[in-house]
Amino acid sequence: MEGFNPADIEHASPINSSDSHSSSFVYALPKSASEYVVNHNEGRASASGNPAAVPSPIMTLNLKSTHSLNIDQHVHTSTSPTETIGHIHHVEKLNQNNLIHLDPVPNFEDKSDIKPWLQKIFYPQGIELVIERSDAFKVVFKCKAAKRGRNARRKRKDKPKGQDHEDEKSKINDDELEYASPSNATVTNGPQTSPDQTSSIKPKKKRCVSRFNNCPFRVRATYSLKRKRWSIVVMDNNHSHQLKFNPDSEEYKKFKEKLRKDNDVDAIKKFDELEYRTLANLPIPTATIPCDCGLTNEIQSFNVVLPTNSNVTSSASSSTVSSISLDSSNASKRPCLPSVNNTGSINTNNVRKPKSQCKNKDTLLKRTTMQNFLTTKSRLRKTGTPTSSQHSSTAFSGYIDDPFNLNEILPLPASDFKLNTVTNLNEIDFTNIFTKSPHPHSGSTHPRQVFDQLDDCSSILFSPLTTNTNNEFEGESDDFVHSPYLNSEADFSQILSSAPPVHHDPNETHQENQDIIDRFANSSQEHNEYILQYLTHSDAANHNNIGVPNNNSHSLNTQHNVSDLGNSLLRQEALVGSSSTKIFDELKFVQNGPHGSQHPIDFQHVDHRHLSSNEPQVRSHQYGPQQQPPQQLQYHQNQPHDGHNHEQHQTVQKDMQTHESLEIMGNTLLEEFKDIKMVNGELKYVKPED
Amino acid sequence: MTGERIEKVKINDEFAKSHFLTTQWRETKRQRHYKMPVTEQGLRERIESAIPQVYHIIVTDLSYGCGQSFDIVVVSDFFQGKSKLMRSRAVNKAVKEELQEIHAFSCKCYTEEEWSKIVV
Repeated sequence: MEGFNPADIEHASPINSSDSHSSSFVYALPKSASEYVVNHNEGRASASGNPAAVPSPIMTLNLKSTHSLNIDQHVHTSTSPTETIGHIHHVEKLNQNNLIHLDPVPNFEDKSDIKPWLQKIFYPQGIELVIERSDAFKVVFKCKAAKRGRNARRKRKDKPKGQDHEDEKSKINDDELEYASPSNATVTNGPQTSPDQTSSIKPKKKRCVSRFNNCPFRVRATYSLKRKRWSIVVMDNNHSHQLKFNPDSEEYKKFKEKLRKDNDVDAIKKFDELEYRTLANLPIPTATIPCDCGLTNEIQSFNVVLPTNSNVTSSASSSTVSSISLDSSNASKRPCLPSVNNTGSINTNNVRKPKSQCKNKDTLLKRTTMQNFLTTKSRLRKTGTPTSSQHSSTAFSGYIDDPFNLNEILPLPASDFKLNTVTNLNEIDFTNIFTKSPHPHSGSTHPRQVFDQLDDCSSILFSPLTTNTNNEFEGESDDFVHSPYLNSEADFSQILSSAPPVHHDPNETHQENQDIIDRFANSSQEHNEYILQYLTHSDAANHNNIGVPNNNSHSLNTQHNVSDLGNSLLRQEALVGSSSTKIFDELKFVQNGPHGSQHPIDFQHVDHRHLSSNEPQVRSHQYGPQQQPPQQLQYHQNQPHDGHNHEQHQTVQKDMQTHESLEIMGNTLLEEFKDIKMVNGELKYVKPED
Repeated sequence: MTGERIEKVKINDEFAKSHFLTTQWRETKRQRHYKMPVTEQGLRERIESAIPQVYHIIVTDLSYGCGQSFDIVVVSDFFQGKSKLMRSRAVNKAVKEELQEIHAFSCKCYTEEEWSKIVV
């Protein structure tokens, strides 16, 4: 096949010969399209007359043909191929390449000569043209329905096999059938009808609507009285179906006969080759001319170059992605298309919802719902050490808002990754922590309100203690002692925000706390740093307080530190989960002292003897000079059987000696946090030996 | 001294000769190895030149440009009264050189009358 050389276009010379005619295609300019319509809407008169060649600034492609038709010569003044490419690109951008002018068109003496000329061009592309409508000045061609609709197919299936042969004999042109009026139906009723005649009796065929019938491809031939010539425009080069050359159609046979009559040997040979290739299932070489710009492809059919209808294959193909892109492109083009293109059927053909994506959506939804179900189920179980099935790798990574992505921190194989100590982190729901309005630092707010706000969070507890102690503390939930059983950072933020203010500016404190929470939520690394910072800070502060216990400011500091320490422990509980349950066991142990005051860390208890302010105090300040951990002392005092059973008292003291104070516990907790080690592919907490 | 120089010159000449020969051999080998593939157009020209009264030749490269597999249809009244074997031998003789480089080759020979029955 001869290639398309843009240089030939530039240097194309007009040919004046009766045996050959030149033909070309044009991408209509934005203005020319409208001008063309205006020109062709001019006055109507008789179609007879000698045509006059009208030069037009369009590129020309020469072709040799034995078609005996007069030729219109058009000298085109395209400056360079690059400009042409740019022009095409520009036109494509403007979506104004809908009208493709075939120019020059041979001077058809008769209207009936238009169809064979067009068929010669479009048959090799697999387009079978039929006349949609015609009058003296205008003929509109459309793509013939290659197939019939479902009803026709069903009828064919229902028919017996013997009848098919008869049908072949009495084959009527599909086009005629399609446009046959009811009056044309050859139904003969009467006793004289022979069996052969009955075979010819056919039921009245209805025009079925299918995507093949609704092909938007249209070619319009109009006669201009002013110019005395026919002009042909491809109005829509898109197809709603796959293009396939069908040599068995009656239309093609007629066309071939016409070629033989005209003695168009070249065309006959080419169509013979096409037929043979189609019958032998050989590859049909397409004369596609790719453009250098990579945006356009042209087809050269009998030296008439047309832009490829690339949408044909893609729209008919079943690939969803391409259909989506096409839909979007078509959607963008729709307003620019002429009214002929804006048929509902075309839109319905093009607008397809990708099934695969729908399926994916469904599966995704299912997955997410399944994950939610699993997580809620696991939450409902309220197990401190969840099973590995509950915390599979997928479920673990399913949490988007999980700041503690342990897969990142600990690059371990997901299958062997059993988090006995840290898996509870997945249960932390951070979704609504920042949506809650910060509590004002008035200090007068009752903690109950805080817990009421935190009901959603506190209801889901993962510590094994919670199941046992929830009912126990229901009646005395005014105290912050319940806070160890809160499991989310939101709780701590609320506690911090509702915590009694210390001597410094409460706004600053809140800001600091909020910053800390933000930092915690940001990343796990920062979170670890935060833990270190927080614990060291509290530890250092506590050490300072131990030195000067009676100082008011120190007492306040101590108070603050202790409360902070409590909070820090709560944070540790939230972060480390079951790793810090030991500490909370101690807290519980201290808390459940039967000496009346069950809440040694009573944030709301005000000791007016030592503190002038009405801020909540920790009872440990009463024992400041003893330089003992408040919990120890408290426990010591609160033990009801201390005086009665000395041995028991001693054992308790020994136990208490083994355990350090809460301040020191912070440090031990830090150490414990470090002591999470890998043992046989599992994360385990290795308790440091004292 | 002169003897040594003469020996050196001789060695250089031998080296140059051997080098020239090796390069020449390489070039011929390269030419042999990188021969232009058989094309549709080349086969068509060969058959047209060898077989008289050719009406139509359809050459299809089934290897999509590799030049290794071809399907050929030759329509000529030259095949009138000849068996399929004789027709095929005539075509094979025409494309004897090309057949050495072609992996697969299919040839169908028809007369014009036969061809008209095949096509519409």
